Amino acid sequence: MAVLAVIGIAAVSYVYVFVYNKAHPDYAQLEPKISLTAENCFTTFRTNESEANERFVGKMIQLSGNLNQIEHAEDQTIFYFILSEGMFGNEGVRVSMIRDEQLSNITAGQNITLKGFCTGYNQTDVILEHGSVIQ
Amino acid sequence: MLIIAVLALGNQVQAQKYITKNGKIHFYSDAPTEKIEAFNNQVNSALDISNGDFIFRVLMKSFQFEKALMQEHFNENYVESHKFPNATFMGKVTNLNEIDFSTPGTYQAQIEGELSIHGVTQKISEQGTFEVKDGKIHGKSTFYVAVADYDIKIPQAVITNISEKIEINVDILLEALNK
Repeated sequence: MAVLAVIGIAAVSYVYVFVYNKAHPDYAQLEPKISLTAENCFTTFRTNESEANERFVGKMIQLSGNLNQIEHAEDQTIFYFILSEGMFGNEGVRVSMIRDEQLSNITAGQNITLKGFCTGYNQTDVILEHGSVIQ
Repeated sequence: MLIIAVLALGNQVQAQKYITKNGKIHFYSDAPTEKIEAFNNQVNSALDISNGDFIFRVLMKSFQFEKALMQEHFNENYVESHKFPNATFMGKVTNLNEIDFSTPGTYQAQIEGELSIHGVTQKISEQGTFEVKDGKIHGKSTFYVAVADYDIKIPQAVITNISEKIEINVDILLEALNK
């Protein structure tokens, strides 16, 4: 009986810790699944969204290109590859960066390689979250 | 079809448009056995102050939950974000004559339109405020969405974990679009 109770407690603890309370991925440590230019990524979403969703969404992807703009909005830093213009003004790839001291060394106008977790295309921009600089 | 409609709307509202791409939406479910909340800080919104046209676009996968498991269930089982990646609102500020966007102050706003979530579109009518300050428009609104209205099915096993009505908090700082 005592053995069964111990097994039961262990099972509940396992489910609580490793299933119910499992941690988010450590995005900074995730290896990119795909590497391409920001322009190529944006163009793929614009021309064939379903293919792009299949290839990129829900994955850590590595992008390279000329960083056009850095935005600071409250506690977030957005790196913006501007690739077109539309009803919301500029369009392109927006990357919400993980807070990191290294970000202050990056300036708009430089070529950059970074990675980020792609959450999709909102008909204006491709959105990446949890971004970090590779080089 | 939605894209065409949005682009058509865009062509109509070039003149006095205010936009943000960093709008915030927070939702909160207060159920008997669990409280669940999520944040999205990359919300697109545009307001044309000349005619009251007002739109939102939200990527469902950009909602961040405290618990990874909840985020997985939200995307995979409830809103099926692989099938329906965006939520959109397209509507109007209907009491435009009561809001002076050229004078700083806080104004009550009545907003009506169509909210699309999970591939289901419903007409909604909600209240909010616009605070005009420093050439920007700070919009805020809190309203409730019934999950059943959007064909979001909650399994019986977790029915007490998720509220039937979800509180939605919108917070957007709109800036003039200079084109």
